[in-house]
Amino acid sequence: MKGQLLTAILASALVAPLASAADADAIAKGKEIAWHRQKGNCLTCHMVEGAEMPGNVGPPLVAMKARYPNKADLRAQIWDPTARNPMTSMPPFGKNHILSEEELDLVVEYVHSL
Amino acid sequence: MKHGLKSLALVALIGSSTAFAGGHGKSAAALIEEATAGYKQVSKETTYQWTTTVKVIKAAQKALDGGNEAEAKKLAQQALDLVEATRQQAQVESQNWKMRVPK
Amino acid sequence: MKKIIRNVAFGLVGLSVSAASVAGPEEDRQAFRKFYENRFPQVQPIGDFQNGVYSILPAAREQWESIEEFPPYELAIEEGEKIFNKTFANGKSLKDCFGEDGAVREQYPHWNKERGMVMTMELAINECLEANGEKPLKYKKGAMAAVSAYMAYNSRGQVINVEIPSDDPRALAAYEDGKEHFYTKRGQLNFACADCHMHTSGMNYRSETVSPAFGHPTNWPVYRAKWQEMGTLHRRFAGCHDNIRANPFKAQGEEYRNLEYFISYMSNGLEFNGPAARK
Repeated sequence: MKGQLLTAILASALVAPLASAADADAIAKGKEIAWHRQKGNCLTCHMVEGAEMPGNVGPPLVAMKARYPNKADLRAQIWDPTARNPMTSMPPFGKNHILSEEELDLVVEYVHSL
Repeated sequence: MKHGLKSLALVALIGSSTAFAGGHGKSAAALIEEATAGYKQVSKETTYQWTTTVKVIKAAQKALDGGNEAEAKKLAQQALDLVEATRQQAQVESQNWKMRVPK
Repeated sequence: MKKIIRNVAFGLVGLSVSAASVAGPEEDRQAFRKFYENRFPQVQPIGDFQNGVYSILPAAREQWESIEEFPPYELAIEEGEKIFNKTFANGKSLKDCFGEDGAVREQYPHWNKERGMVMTMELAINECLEANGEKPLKYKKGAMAAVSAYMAYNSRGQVINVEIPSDDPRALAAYEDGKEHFYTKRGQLNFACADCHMHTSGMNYRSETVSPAFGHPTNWPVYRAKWQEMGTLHRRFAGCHDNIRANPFKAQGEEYRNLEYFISYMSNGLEFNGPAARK
């Protein structure tokens, strides 16, 4: 587990500077959706660097690559967090069509970059 | 309402499938009818209703009235997805709510 | 399973009540109260939960208490008093239904066996008006909130004591209906009342701390800064539903009356202290 995390962190550190302009664009678009109150509205519950008065219902969005080495797992969590935990108060952004699949992809790019 | 009836009649006349919709099968008008009926049925059967669904159905009708068949179809399909998601929510929650009761 | 059978057997033998008493409303209520006691041990005495979110937010409490010194609902109480004392066309008034000062808050909500439904104070106000040939009031704000504020004010200090009569299974069914509503996720955003006001109560959604449900029904109607006016409990229910993108139910319809019945029963023992000021 530890090894996996370490690899993930190392890998992300190596990959990050090489991120293409397209990636940066997706991340910027994803941020816009994530911060939008009618869309992702992530800051209502999650601390994100640079956010003013974020909520604290969910965990801070930091070290996401370490927490989700596999981007698909992060996507699945945002798509329907109730699949893993029916008690969660986090909305199922994909399952309930709060975000479109394309919007969700962009949000995943952004959140994974945090 | 009048418009709805007219579309219904039209759909009935032409028959269900590819007449004016092309690839996707049903026309926007038919999809809107379907979404509206589904919405009403789910809310009647389960008391679950999403405000979003109403808004999207209205937007679809507006697009259709404005002559934008493609946009109307896209929105009507979205409304159908919302209806289905509402139905699933009602189904899942008919059991899951019990987990939240403190023991 | 074995335990359940044993409990049922015990219920049948030991008590003359049905098996429902195994996990009945009283057990629910104790578990509910215990949940908030454990979550907010700093709230002492327990009666302080009647002050809503301010019972758990000492920092905001001071400001709130200074607001309550010159309460924004004062005008509503005065307006409500006028309406309450106003003579109907038939010579009667609301006094004929609710007594000289209308201090009847503790009688609501209650189960009405004859009609097989939960009666709330606002519903009773309108029924009194209509029975005397007067026009009913709109349920969410305005004159209704004013009369309700006047009656609540004169009832301050009365204790919530909702009963679920055991001789009418429909009363238990109404309670169960309200209970299921409270714990059920709804709306596109998939929230249950319990998600915010129980399992994440005290946490912050942006800068707003979410209030505990224990104590929710004590202080209505409310002057809410966000509304810039008075509103009733059912107005707030509808607002919450709208927030989670669920279609609100009708004010004073069966769904909201049953929900009021449930949450009021859960807060049994707390004092009515409405009207109140809230953010």
